[in-house]
Parts: sequence; structure tokens; C-alpha cells
Amino acid sequence: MRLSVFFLFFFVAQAYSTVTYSQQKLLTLKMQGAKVIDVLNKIESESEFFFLFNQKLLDVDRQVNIVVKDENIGNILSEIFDNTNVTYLIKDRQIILTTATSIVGSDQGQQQSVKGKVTDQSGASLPGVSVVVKGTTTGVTTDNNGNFSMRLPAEAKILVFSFVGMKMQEVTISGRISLSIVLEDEPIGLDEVIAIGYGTVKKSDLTGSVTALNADAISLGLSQSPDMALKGKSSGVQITTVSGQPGAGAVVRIRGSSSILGSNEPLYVVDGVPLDGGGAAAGIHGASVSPLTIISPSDIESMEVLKDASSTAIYGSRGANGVILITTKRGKEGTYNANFNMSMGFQNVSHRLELTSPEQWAELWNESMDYKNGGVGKYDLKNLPARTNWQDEIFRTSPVQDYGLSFNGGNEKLHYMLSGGYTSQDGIIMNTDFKRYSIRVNLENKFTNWLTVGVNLSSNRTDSNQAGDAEGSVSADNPVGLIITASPVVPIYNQDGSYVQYVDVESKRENPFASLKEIVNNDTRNRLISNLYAEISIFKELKLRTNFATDIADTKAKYYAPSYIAQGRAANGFASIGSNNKLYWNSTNTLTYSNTFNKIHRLTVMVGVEWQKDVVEGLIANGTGFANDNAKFDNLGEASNYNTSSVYAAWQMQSYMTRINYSLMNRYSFTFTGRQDGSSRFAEGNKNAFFPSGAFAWRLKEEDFLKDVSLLSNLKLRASYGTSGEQGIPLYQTFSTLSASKVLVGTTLNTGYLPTRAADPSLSWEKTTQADVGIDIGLLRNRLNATIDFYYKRTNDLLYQKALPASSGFTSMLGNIGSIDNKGIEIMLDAIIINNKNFKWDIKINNSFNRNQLINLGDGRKEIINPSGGVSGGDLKATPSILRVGEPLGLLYGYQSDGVIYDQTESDVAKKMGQIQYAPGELKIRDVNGDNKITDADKTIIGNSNPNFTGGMSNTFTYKGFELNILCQWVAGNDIMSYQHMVNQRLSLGYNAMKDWYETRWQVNNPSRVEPRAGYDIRAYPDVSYNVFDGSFFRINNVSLSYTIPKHVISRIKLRNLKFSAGIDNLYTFTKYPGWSPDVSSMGGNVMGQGIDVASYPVPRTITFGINLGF
Amino acid sequence: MKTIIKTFLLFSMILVMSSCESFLKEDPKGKQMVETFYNTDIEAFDGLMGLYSRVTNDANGLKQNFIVRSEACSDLLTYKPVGAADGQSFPKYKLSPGNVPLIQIWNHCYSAIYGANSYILALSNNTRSKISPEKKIQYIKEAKFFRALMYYYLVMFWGDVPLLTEPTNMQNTNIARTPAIQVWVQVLQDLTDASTLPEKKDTPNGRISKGAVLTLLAKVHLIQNDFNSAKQVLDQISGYSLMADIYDVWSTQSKYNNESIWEINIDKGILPLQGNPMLSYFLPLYADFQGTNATYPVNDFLLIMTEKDSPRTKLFYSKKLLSSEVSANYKGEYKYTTDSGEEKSIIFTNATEPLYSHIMKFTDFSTVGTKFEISDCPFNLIVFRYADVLLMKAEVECELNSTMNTSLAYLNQIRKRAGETQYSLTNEIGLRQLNNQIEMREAIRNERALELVGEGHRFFDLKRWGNEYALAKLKASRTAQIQGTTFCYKPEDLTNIQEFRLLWPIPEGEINGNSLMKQNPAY
Repeated sequence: MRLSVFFLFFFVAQAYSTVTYSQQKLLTLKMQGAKVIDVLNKIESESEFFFLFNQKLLDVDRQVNIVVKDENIGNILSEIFDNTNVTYLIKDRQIILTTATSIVGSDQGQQQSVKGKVTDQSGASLPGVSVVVKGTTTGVTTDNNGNFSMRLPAEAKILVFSFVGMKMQEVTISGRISLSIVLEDEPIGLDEVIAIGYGTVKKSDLTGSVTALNADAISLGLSQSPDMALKGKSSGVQITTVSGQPGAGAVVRIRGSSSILGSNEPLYVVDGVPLDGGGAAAGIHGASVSPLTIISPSDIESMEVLKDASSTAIYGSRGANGVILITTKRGKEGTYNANFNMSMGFQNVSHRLELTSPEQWAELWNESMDYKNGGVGKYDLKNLPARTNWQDEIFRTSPVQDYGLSFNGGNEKLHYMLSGGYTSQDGIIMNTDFKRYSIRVNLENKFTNWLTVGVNLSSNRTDSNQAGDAEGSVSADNPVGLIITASPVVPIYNQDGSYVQYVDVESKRENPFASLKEIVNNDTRNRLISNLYAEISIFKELKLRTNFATDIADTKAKYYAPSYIAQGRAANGFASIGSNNKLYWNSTNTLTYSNTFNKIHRLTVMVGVEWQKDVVEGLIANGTGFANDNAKFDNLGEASNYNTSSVYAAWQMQSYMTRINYSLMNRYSFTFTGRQDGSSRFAEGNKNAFFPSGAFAWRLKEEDFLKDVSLLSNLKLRASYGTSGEQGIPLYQTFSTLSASKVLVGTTLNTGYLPTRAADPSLSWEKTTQADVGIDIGLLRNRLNATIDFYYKRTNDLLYQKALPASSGFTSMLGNIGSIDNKGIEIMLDAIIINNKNFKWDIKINNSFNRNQLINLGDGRKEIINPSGGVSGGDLKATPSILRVGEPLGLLYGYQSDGVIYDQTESDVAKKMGQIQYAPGELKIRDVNGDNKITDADKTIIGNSNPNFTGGMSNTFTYKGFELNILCQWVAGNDIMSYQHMVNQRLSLGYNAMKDWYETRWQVNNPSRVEPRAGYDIRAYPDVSYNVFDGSFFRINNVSLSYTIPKHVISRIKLRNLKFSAGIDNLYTFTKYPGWSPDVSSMGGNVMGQGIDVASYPVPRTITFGINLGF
Repeated sequence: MKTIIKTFLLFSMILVMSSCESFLKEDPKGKQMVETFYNTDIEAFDGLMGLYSRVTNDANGLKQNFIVRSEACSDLLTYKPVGAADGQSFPKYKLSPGNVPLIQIWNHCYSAIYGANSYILALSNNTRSKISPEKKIQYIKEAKFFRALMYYYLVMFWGDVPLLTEPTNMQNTNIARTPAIQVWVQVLQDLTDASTLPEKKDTPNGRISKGAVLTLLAKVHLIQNDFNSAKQVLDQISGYSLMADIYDVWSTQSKYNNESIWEINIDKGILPLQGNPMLSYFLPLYADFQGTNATYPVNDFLLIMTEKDSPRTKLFYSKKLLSSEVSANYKGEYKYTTDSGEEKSIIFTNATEPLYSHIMKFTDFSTVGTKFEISDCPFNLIVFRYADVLLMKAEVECELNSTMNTSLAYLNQIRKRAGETQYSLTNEIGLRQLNNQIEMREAIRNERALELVGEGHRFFDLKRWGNEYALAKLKASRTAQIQGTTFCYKPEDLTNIQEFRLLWPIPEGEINGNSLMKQNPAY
């Protein structure tokens, strides 16, 4: 913080300095026998002057004596350069030194000088534009009015004009002495080059469905990781938060879920290297840090989301769920940029759940005791044992901060980008945090005209303390869930100051305050990703690129439950330490031939081969029985009992690929992609598979009949068809392995081996075939752009557990069965609504419709109730999962509730129907199959977690230096089953309740038809529609306001850019959903757990203030 | 030079493009394969330990579900009204094919049978093995005992079941049910093969000895009402005796005592944690038990039979409240004596269901105090013990009607040790008189209930005494009531007690996945 204050004062002081700096600034120098360069450096260090000169021409090593006191710069310079051929020109703080010799020695003494004015497209003058002679560092910047003038070295032929947010322009001088330059805005233009995997393509030639996001789009909003930065910004991509835990990841779905058991996550490729796994080591409790958090979003130059088969097929067996390409920033020729980012802020819980007060709760409890326990065990309302507001005790306002420093630049040969960053975020729940330290180096050098070598290196550490989270169970019996279920009349501490152990009636659920405060649950990861490459131009049209990348990930998980809290009490302290060491390497070699024939045939052919190997070695050790709580996991040797296990897992892939891009007359583009993948995961004979795809694009705008339609600036039709795959199944599935287990026989602990898996040697890939038709339209000089895509995806050979009769010894066997369909429409609009000299309004909207359908389950089965891998309710006995042919994945299955049994008459009916609980005030269950009995057969589909549509919108308003961004996101028509809602009515365990229910519940003297009575049996029908809610929401994800100090102000202080910003993240959510947030996926990536909310770590609201300065 | 380098690079690229098949070989480092295991004494022993692990250390089998679920189907237990519906279905006789514990028990049995079959096959067929012949023979006997044990439970629960004596061919998993009578033939064969195992004194603790095999064999004979064979087998069970003090049967100070025939060791402080999950189904709600919810308290039908304040009653049950004692402040109590002889009592402070009596007999409070976790406790699980054998002997003698005195002697050994009134064939003061074989038979049957409650024998006993007898007892138990207390059975629970429900329904997954499988009648 002190640093920021310093910077603030520094800049304010600078901004107010006067224009006559050169006259006012007085310098005192005393240098004997000093080199000219040292004197100049001294002046630069003591003042704000800076010198521009060509070191080759200026004799900087000449020794001078200079002793001056309070002299102005003009006199000092004349003293230094008196009697030399050097002349100087002082422009405010900028001093240009040129030599007479250079002029004399140049071509017939034709010394040139040039002046000019730089404006933007609207005609407004542009101050601060950098004007550099190409190939040199000689240059000036434009003044307040956009004017510049400079003397040119003799060899100068081309001037390069560059300015942030504008397209760089090169202007040939060709003898002119006055130039008028108009710089164009740099929108996402058609000439933009887009990464497509193993190569790039001009956007105009793109045949597939790809959403490209540039650095500006990525930096909108607050995000710790690239997946979160995508939220609401791309069509066809649905991003759901797993939890609000600092560093937690998201569930990312591109065009729906296409696998039941395999992964549905897209493949991430960072600078050409697939980013794989790197998950937590064994021993972490609950939700964990996303592997993507190792990438700082501020390092990202662009992200491309590859959606259709034509774009993803090049990734073959790993592309079925879409691919997200991430390209990090790199240096550009002729520039030098340093950038410093700083943001600070704080987070708090976006809204608290309104729970009952201790008295209200006790009233509910007493009613429940009257109902269930003959009035035994009631509380005296006037004398409650304690009054605890668990939310107040556990939630906090916590700081977030982020610093990033980067340098990039380059000359003709060497380009570089160096960045370092530090992020720290404390969670809104005590004792949770996330820290990231990152260093990135991107270097590229052109050794000769045919050889370029480069390296991308990124080294990171993340360190995170996590609250034990839901971990896939719906009972909400985890510390975070217990914040809202712990009874308000249970104290945190006993009278002797020790922790109360349990907060429920059964003494199973530990005091959440003690758990969160005292348990260490730490996830630390070090990761070094390096990518070394060489590009060899064999002849002009043929390039060989060879890449060797390694990804080394070392992950550690540390856990300790001390002896004085419930979790560690019986064991006298429970410690565990797990470590995972991963080495992934990837060797990619491609040959690319590209040429243009007869000016109309443009052909690019790429062939390549790739090898990958991934080895993970894991180790975990547990220990219990400690003398005290000092040693923890740091000295497991002190434990009285321990056990250890280790694991080795490796996979390899060998792939051949080709892509042919052919474009005719700039109008017709064809792409053929093929990839043959071999994977070690499958049995001999099934290891290899081929994934082909083809695509066609037609740029109608280039046709003669549309060429002159000035309204239309772009019109392109695209179509593609192809196949990609999914191999994300557990390793070693084709072997009948023996599992080892420990068993105590007599007094010895023995290791026993038992066959535990039926192996299917015919196991193979899931294959997804996708057709896509798209249209790109640009109107009014691309002020209005629209992209619309229609797609149809069919996944065959679905990997799923084939059911076996248990009498065979096994209940299931992994096999390829079934098919799934996804079809949908995606729309993206980008409009510059207002574009005045001072005011600009840019709006981007995307909206996607996806329909998912299970086509076939194999074995002729029509449905699987409570399928393997589905959500199980543990103690609640809830099993809301079902797979049903003809319906989507992610259905919610259970009993339909018809409100509440109102009175005795209705109770008699319910009793006759055989309801488990039938007293008045219990839930009334519908007899769906009409057999006058309430049985399992009455379970039906009670919700669909798939939304009708999802979308996002960003609005950018620019007024002079001010920019206001508003980022919104919406999801409509999905259902959520809230187990949080249910457990908050579990009075049989003494759980806390929602205030809303307290006010509207059924009571003996005040019956309700809607809300059940206190003490009703939630476990009688746990999967009931009563707990299903509409999950639609509209969220203002982020509002941020920034002010960029005008160029003419900051250019005086040698700064290139200075921006102040403030923003609020997760500002407000409009929803009818009663829980913490409708935008959660508590079950993580499990497709059968979509739409289930267990009150996981709430997503915080964050307010940040930032400074961005470039120099 | 440049051209040479480039040409070299191009050619090496082409070379690199050529295939390399071995690269894709999966490396199963650190994994054991069925095909390559079972070659040495150690591997054979570890394979056997795999079977022990499956059979003795799995909550779906002996360690919990075999015992608590079958006991819940007997006439001795009731259920906690707020318990899960699946758990309540056992005592309420409302089992459906989708019942989760029911499915787990079925799956567990066949998983263990597959393990035993593949183990027996691997050992018998392994020609290149370095396993010593004696070890091989002994291990196969133990595996056969486990296979017989699993079929014993399968037939007792479901009747006719698929009989597999070799590892299943996964290409053909449609297997029809084998009549129970034929399954018993296989069980008798396996047990006879195993009955030559060494005696307990020559067997390491926890392992299967001759005594365990014979106990199971006797039970199978009794099920078939073959009292002569049963007598023959029971008479071979030797070297065991009752513990003098009933408190020592489950005492942590006297593990593997002389009464114990087969015992599963459970200890605290072992990682991975070895608990006794069965306890959580019997013990009451109490903070210091952690994780206990007393799904199945004992019912009044049993309590009426007990003698109040006898050592056995005091050890076995927590105090049952009388209506006059019910108040907001009183929750439930258990009294025990520590090693130093100190009388202590536990009040179930946070119990919300105070009106039940709970089975406490497996828990040795005197050595560990009251602070323990179910997941980490040292209370062994005794599968077979000599009291059971003595009562079987009494029953056999009574049925064979040779001499009632022999039968009475066995019975009174149990009564005496329990500290309860003994029986007499004549009218003796202070003793209960048994007038004929019928009364003797009933006394023995009741004694089995009183002595072996919670040990997983009662449901099978009721069934082998005939469906009529079983139904009568079950109905009587669901209407019995101690005056003045609330009883959790509801009148409609009685209507579910029907003969067809004495066999459990075949799980739904089995019916759906096995085209030759037929459901038990009336389900």
C-alpha cells in the first residue's frame, strides 16, 4: 500500500509540472574527466530529461570536464558539446542529439528533416505517438497537438508510427518533408492472425467455428485464472463456478456435455503445449485449486476457443470437448514496453442467507419435539444455552491484491517478454487463501535468415489454504455447509474454553468454526513449463518447426487436524502429507508448406508428428497419535501409527497429423484435417484411431455481385464436418489388476490381493462427429459484426460402465456403449453503437442454445436409475440421478411433491397411499403412476439442469480518458436441486433453518399448504420436487471504471501509459433462487451432478482499485 | 554447408515421422496382474489375505450388514423412527429389490465368491508355482470355508441362488438359480474339505481353524434338520469353554479367549482405520461415541424376557425407561464397572430418542473409557463362540430326545454364567421348571435369543425352526409392549409380516442384468 501512495504522489507531482521545464530545471554537476555518456546519464538521473541519439554516430566515450552550479540545460549542453560536431534540440524533456559528421558523411549531404501530424480516424490529433526510424532507435513522440518533427539519419527510408490501441503503420518517406498520418483503430480485423493449433491462419481464411478473445477482452472483469476470464464472453461456452474458494476452478462446457464418464472439460493448450492435469496431491480435503490458476490472465495475449470439428480435429483424440488455445504475450520488433499493474481490494460474501434467530430456531425445535418426541427435549425459550451467529463468526472481509511487472520488446532479431507477478487473495471464510508467484519468459531469436529459435518458460508457485468443501456428497456435512446448518443455540466454545466438538444432535458433524480455524488443509504447487522450439526455413515456402516441451509439476498436500478438535481427537492428531510429481513431455515436429500460385491459389499444407508421455508418481503418508500438536505433517516420524502408499501412472500418445488449407481467389477456402492418434490407454489392436475433418468457407462479400454493396463489409459462410475423440478414461482399464488392501488378521496388519476389476480388452475411444454451419456478417465498415453458428454433435462409443449382474462377481465393466447428441445455435454480436470523437459505446453480446439428448445406452436399456457415477446422498439416501434415453444428461429424478398434507383428512389419504410419513404438515407426494400407492415407481423427472439458453454481454463506454465496462451474464430455464434448502429443514439433526421457512411453515394452529412443518421427515423423500428451484439468473458480473491519463500529460514524464481503475466483481445477481448462488456446480465436472447445490463456498463480491502504468 | 544442414534436418524429420510401436506399450508399473500373481508362498498367502480382507473387513459383509440387517429382520430389534427408509425396511418387512443395503449384501457375497473361486483356481492350476504343497492345501481349505460361508448367507437370505464354483466367464453372465438343496450340497462339500484344518490352538489368531469350520457345518446340518449329523459335528468341537464372567467375553483384555471360536480383530490406532461399524447400528446417540445413531434398538419383546439386573442384562443393554421416568431432563443411561472396580454411568446427554434400550454388550467401556470413535475402536467382533455351540448341543440333544438331562446341563451352563434363574426338570425352589420336551425346546430357543442377541444368528434360527414359528414370533414381537412406554412399531408394520417376505427379494440389478434370473415369488 505504501508503494501505491508513493506512486500516486509521484505522478500527481509530475502531472502538474510546467511546460517550461527546460528553462526552469536547474542542474548542478561536478564531473572531471567523465565520459560524455556518463554525463548524459547523470543528467537523466537527476532530471526528467531524456536523450535520443544514435550511439554509432555520437562519440560518447569522449572525456569532458564539467562543473556547473544551478545551470539550465541549454548552457550545460553547449558546454559539453562546444567545439564538436554535435548539435542538440531540446523539446520539453526530450533532447535530440545529432552530429554534423553524420550529416556531412551521408549521401551527398542530403540531410533530411521531416515533420508532420498524426490523427486518428475521426481527425482528432494524437499526442504521444511514437515515431521511429525503422531499424534504429532514433525517434520522437508527437506533441500535444499530434505534431512531430525530427531530423533523419541518412539511411532512413521508413518511419514507423505506433500507438497503443492503434494499428502500427509504416510510412515510406521517399523524400517528403511533411507527412499527414491517420492511425486506424485496431479492432478485431479480418487481417488478424488467429491461432488454430499447430499453426495460424488469417481470420479471413478461417473455415471453422472459433471465438477469438484479445488481451483487452480477457482483462475485463476480475479473474485469477483464464477459465474464469472467459465467463460470459464467448458463445457456446458455459462456465459454472465450482466454489467461491480462492483459486477454485470452474466447470467449462463447450457446446454441452458429450460424455458420461469421460471428461467433458475442453483441452487447454498454452503456447502450443497441452496443459494437462496438475491436480492436487492425495490428501487434500474437498475442493481444490484449478490447474489453470497457474496462468496469470495478465500474461495472456489472446485466447481462442475452438468449437467445431474442423478446428478441434487437429487435436484428434483430445479435442471432442473443444479446445481453448492460450497464447501468452511476446515482444514485438521495434518497441520497448514496460508495464506495471497493481490492484488491491477486498472481498466479502455477496449476500448472507437469512437464517432463524436463536429464539425462532428454538421455537421450531420445540414444535419438532412436540411432533416427534412427545414434547420431550424442548428448549426454554427464555434461557437458551447460547446465541451463535455462525455466519458472522466465520465470514470476513478479506483483502485481495495483485501485482504484475512485465517487459517486452525486441529488435529485428531478438524478441523478448519477461513478466513476474504476485497475487494474493484471502478467502471470505477464515483461514482460506490463495497466493500465486509467477515468472514468465518468452524469448525468440532469429539466428540466421533461415533459423529462428525460441523458448517459452513459465515458472509458478501457488499456495492455497482450503476450507474442506462439499466433496461430491449432498449432505452438506462439511465445514462450509455447516456454517448455515449449525444450530444457533450451540456455542462455539465450552465453558472451559475448549471447542464444542459437535453441532448436531447425532454428534457426527464437527464444529465448523473449529474445523475452519484449526485444520490445516494446504495445497502447494510448483510448476515449470518450458517449451523450446526452432523454426527452420528449408526454402522460402517450406518451414520445419520442432518443439520440445516439458511440464514439471510438483504438488504437495498437507493436512492436519489437531487433537483438541473433533476430527483429531480420537486419533490424537491426524496428519497427512501427500506429494505428486509429474513429468510430461511433448515433442512436436511439423513441416509447413505455404505458397500462392498465380496470385489466386493460396495453399498451406502442414504435416506433423507428435509424441507425448506423462508420468505421475504420487506418495501419501498419514500419521496419528502425536504427543502434542507441534510436529504435524512436518515430522510424521513422531506419529505412533502411520501408513503410506505410492502410485505410478503413465500414459503415452503418438500422433500423426496433417492439415491442408486451400484458398481460391480470396473467396473460397477449404480445410482438410486428419489426425491419427495412438494411445497407450487402450488394448493392443485398439490403440490407434483416425480423426478426419473437412471444412469450407465462402466469402460472399468478395464476389462481384456484393463487392460494391457498401453497407456490407463482410459476409462469409462456413460449413464443417468431422470427428474428434475422447480418451479421458482412467488408466490401466484393459488389465485385470489385483487391488491391494490392508487387513488385520490376528495382531498383524497384512496386505491382501484380490481381483477387483473385470477388464474389457476391446475398450476404445469415444468419438464425436460434428457438423457446423456458420455465417459471419460485417456491416457499416465492420461497426456491426455478427457470427451465427448452427451445430449438431453426435458422440458414439460412449465410455460407460456396462452393467453386469452382480452374481458374476462384478457389478460393472467399463465399455463403449451408447450415444449422446448435442445440437445448438450460437450467436455473437459486436456493435460499436456510438463512435464520436470523444464518446464511444461498444457492445458485445453472445447467446447460446444447446440441446442435449441421450440417444442410446447400449444393451437395449432405456434408462438407468441411480447410475454408477451418479450423485449419492450419503446419509440423506438421496439418489437424484438418472440416465434416460431420449432425455438430456443432467436430469433430476425423484418424487413430485404436491405441497403439504394440510389436515387429518388429507393425512388419512396419504396413510392409505402408504406414504412413509403421513402426518399433517408432512410433504404430500404425488401418485405419479396412479396405482394408489406411493412407492419407488412414483419417482419421475422433477427437473432439468440444462438451461434453455445462456449468454453474456459486455458494454464498454469510452469518454475521453474514461472507460466504463459493464459485464453481464445470464442463464435461463435450468433447474437446481438445492440440498442446502433441504438440510436447512433437518431439525431431526438440530440444523439451523431459513427464516423464510420459519415464517411460512405449517403449524398446528396455522396450517399451510406450501411449506411443511418443523420436524417433518426430510429423509422420507429426500429427492423431492419441493427442493427443486428455477436456477435462471441475470448477473452483473463486473462493473469497472478506469481513467487513462491523457498521452500529452504523461508523455512529459516518460510514461507511455497510466491508468487508474476501480471495479466491483459479482456486483448483483437477479434470481429467484433462494440459495447463496444459482451459478454453482457443487459436484464439479460430474455430468450427473449438474444442477445440484450443496451450499459450497459462496462466491464473493470483490471491490478492487488498480493502477496500470507503462513506460 | 547450409544446404547440408537443411537436407539433414529434412531427412531426420522424415525418419522421425516413421512409426515406433513400442512407444505405446502401457507400462503397468506398480500393479499386480491376476495372470502373473500366485507363484510363491508369499504371493499365495497375500492372495489368501485378500480373501480375509474381503470377508472380514467389509461393512457389507460380516463386519456390519450380515449381522445388523439379519438381526433387524428377527424378533429382537426395532427401528429408530427417523432412520433412513432403507434401514427401516428390514425390521418393517418392506424390502424392495432396490433396497441399497440389500443390494450391497448380494454384491458382496458374489464378489467374495468370485475372489475365492479365482483364488482356488489360481492355486490348483498353477503348475510352475513354487508354493509348498502343505501351504497350498491349507490355503485352499480356508478359501473353501469362505466360499461356503458366503453361500450360507446367500441361501439363508434368498433361497435358490446362482451357484458358481469357478471364476465367471465375463462373456456369459446369464446364470440361472440353483435350488437351495444343491447349493447346500456344495456348502457341505466345501466345509467337509475344510474341516481338516488345524485346531484353534495350532492356528494363528484370527485365522480359520477346525472349530470355525465345524461350527458352520453344524449350523448347515441344523438348517436341514439333520440332528444326527449335527450332533456328530458338534461333538468334534473341542478345546473351548465358557468364560466364567460374561463381562470377559468381549473384554479388550481377553481377546481370543477360550470361548471365542472365530474372531475378527479390530483395533484402534491402526491406519487405515479399523473400526467396528456394526456398533453404530446398536449404540445410542451420544457425543462421545461419535457417529452413532442406533438404527436398531432392542424391542420390548426381548426386554420382557430378560431378568432385570442380572449381570447379563446389565452388560447387554442400556436402561429402558419406564413411563414414570420420562421427563425432559432424563435421556437414557448405561452403567458399567471400570477395571479398578469403580461404578460409572453414562448419561446420553444429547440423545433425542431416549425411549429405547440399546445393545451395549460389544463395547468394553471399562478399558477405553467413554471416548471412542466407531471408525477407530478396539472392540473385536466374535463371529462364532462356544455359547452358540453349547446351545446348539442343547438343541440337538433335546430334538434327539436321548436324555433331557444332557440338554438341560448345556442350557444351565449358559443360564448360570448369565446370572439368571436356571432351569430344572423337577420342581426345585428358585429354579424354573421345564415339564416336557416342548418346554425345553422353547427354553433353548429363547435362550439363544437372550444370549446371542446382536450376533446375527436369530433370523436364521427363526427360519430353520419353520416359517410358521418364525411368523408367530415376528408378529408377537411387533405387538409386545412394556406398559407405559412408547413403542415404535406401528400397527401396520404387522401386516407386512408375511411368509413370502422371509426370503428377501432378488436385487433389481441382478434381475435386469441376468436374463435367466427370476424374482422370488410375490415380490
